[in-house]
Amino acid sequence: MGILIRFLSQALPTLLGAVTILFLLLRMIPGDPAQAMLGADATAADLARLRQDLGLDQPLWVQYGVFLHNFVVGDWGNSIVTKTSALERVIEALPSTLMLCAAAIVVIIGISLPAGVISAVKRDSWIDYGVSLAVFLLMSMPQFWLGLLLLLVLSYWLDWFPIFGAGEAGDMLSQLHHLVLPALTLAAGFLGLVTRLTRSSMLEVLGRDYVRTARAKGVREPVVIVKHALRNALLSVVTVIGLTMGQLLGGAVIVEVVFARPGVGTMIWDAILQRDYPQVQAAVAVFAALFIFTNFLTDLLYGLLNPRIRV
Amino acid sequence: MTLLSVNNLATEFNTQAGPRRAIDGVSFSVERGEVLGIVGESGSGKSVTALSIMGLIDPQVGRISGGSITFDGRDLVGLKLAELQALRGKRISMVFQEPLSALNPCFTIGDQIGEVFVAHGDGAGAATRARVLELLKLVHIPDPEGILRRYPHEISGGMRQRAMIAMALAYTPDLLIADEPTTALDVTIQAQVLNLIDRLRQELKLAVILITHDIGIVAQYTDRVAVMYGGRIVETGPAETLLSAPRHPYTIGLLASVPRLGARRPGERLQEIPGTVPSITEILPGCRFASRCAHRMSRCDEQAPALVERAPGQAAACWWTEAA
Amino acid sequence: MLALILKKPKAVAGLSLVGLMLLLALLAPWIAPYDPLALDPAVSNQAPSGQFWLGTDFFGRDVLSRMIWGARPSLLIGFASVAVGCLIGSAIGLAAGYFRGWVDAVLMRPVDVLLSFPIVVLALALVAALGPSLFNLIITISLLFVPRFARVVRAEAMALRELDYIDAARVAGQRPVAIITRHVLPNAMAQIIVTCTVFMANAILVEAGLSFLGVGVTPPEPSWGNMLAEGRNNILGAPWLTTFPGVMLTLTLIGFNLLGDALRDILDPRLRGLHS
Repeated sequence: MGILIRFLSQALPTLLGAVTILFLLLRMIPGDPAQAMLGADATAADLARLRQDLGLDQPLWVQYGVFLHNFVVGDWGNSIVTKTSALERVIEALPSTLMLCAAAIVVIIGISLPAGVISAVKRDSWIDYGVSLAVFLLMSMPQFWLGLLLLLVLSYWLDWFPIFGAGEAGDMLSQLHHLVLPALTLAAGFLGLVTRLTRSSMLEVLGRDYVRTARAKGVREPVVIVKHALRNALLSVVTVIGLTMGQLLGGAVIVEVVFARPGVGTMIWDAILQRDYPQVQAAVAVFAALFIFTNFLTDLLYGLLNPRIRV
Repeated sequence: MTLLSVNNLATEFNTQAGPRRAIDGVSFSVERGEVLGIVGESGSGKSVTALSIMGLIDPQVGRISGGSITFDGRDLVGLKLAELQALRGKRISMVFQEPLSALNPCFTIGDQIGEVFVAHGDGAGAATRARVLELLKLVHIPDPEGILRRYPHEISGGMRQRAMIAMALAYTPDLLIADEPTTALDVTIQAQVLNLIDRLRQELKLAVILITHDIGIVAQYTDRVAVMYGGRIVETGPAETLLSAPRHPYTIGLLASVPRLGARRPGERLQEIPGTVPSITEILPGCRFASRCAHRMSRCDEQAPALVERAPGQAAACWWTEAA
Repeated sequence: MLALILKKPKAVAGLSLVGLMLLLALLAPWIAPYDPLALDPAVSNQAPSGQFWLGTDFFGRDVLSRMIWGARPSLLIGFASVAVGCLIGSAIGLAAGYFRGWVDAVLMRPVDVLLSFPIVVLALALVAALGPSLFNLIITISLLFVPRFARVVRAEAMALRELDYIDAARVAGQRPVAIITRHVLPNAMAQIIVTCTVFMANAILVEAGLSFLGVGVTPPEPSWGNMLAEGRNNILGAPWLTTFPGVMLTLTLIGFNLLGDALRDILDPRLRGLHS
């Protein structure tokens, strides 16, 4: 019940705002949007039909009403290039992108949490400095460049990984093989943030009284660190990982393009280059909805992890 | 045989100016079934003494730099971590000052008490649960079944401290160190908790080190007292004689600053000791109390006084006392 | 302040890198050995040599010269969009944080909505609508940073308005605008400067990303992002095309990140020691 109220009061208005921005975006196109989409050699009849399809001949507030209505009922228009439902195309491309993001999250958690915990426990040691340096370099390296370097060295020169695509449909092994480099690249941009935050939260938590209590009980050090300290440090780390998930979607666009991997990211890219605005709109709307949804889930997860605010 | 004997203990911490001793030359002993009170202002080294005994000085910031802590015939200084862990919570336990922050907010009371048994290899089964319930009853927690499933923030301060005590008693330790166990509690709850510790001491034959800044508590609940100031013990003796005939100016000052029921005439003001405790970074060759002392002599600034027996079992470290 | 900065090795390293890139950008016409746009099919895809230190691209253009010229759009767009984003965002944040209540609600709702798009996706959508040009890139990227500045500055303003002397100014009847400009803003400056430095790195990264995706700086005008995109087409045959612009970009980002870290250490004692 509380969840529903929080969803209605927080996530829904933001979603409405995001949709409004999308509505405005299309109207921001300088000159005639229909002309911009169809190109200079479009016939007058084609232009007129597209204008009518998009409702461009109506007053702005009517356009907005129609837009909202169509959005709610799932009628998001057709791709100008393929003439098929823009929303359906996005939904078809989505699993590949979500798999990429999920794999990146696994990499982030698998590397950042241990690295952050170890550098906090061994603070000011060589391991700590090494982790800090690595993290700093990763934070300063653009994802698309890192991706290109990985491609060049590991795929072209060493031939360890495939060069493009997402792998054979139905062949799990091939798909995983194709997933490794993109997931590493996507994760790389966020490793720094999460590692730094894990380290600083751990440092703070390790100084807390209850950690001393656990030691006074005779609890062994690894258990003290993982159960008592990390469990509490996770509260803030989970929040950041959750917010990171949303940004991963943005990173996925670049990573998918670098590795020529099919997905919503490459779809947005193609659509922009082809001025297929309804398609751009549909894909961006899905990304925004996912983004808002993961932020909302993060909120819920934080509540679940923290007994003090559990509802 | 003496259960715990601390000899010439020194613990230092890293400061901007280099390592500095927070406690220096601390010696005392505790027998089974006895309550030793350690009393002093904050910063006097009481808690550092307790944490040193537990081996809980964070190696990143400090270390025991000298002396010995003999517990049941074994020196705890230099013991391997695994050996210390086997003792902690089982033979030596500690109750901390602020139960809300000393309990982990993410786990239930039952989990946290049961964890003592898990840590010492007894597993988390039904037997452990039964023992946890037993402990909660021992410390007079009403509705132990309900408390078991509660999180620390869901119960009152008094209940939390009882739960902490239950945790400390899991294995009926030989030595219980209570570091200001009632400072964070209401006055009425204070008496309940202290009476509980006192009763358990008698029933279970515990040796207790009761650390406090409240000399009123010392009078009521301890057998012997060590008064600490600036990282040293300045006076020690049986509670009764020390409180009725204090020899060290600091002890005298502490007693004068406490309101005593009935003993206070209307209009009489409580006396405070002027000044503050010197910081551990100050290197003082003489008595660390000298700057605040009404009886300061030139010798006090030059040479640190040693503990010298003044009455049966009672010793003070003071040049003025010695001259008197 | 300056003395403090010069005492920190991190800050000195960061300043040097940023300074170097600024010099390259400013002096590009004089230090670039070749015309960055001059085509010469005779020397297509040459590996680094004595003549072309960092090699040439498919069109026979000198990579070193293009790289030096490429510093210009990166830094220009970075500075301009952070400046615009900082001005607008700080104004929103100050007003929302100082007045609270309905002002806060009205100002922050659009901010939250803008924050509900992944950065790259919103940038792509905006550029797609506006069309790529230097001016539109600056508009787009500053719009990305307006809500982020607003968030940071609002938090700062909210903390500051609780302070006693600001209360005193209010009681003394000073007008809100005067209180904000004389008391709140100067105290929020430290945080704003740190944020600007960190966002500079982000803005440059976004510009490079957009150029890499082909919707940023349009060829043949060189930028590190579009050089990487061109190099990608012949990554195996001419790896120098993908290597060097990336190095420049990374060095620039390292510079701003180092500077940001160091400034945060100096200006925000609360965080000292937490992030190294």
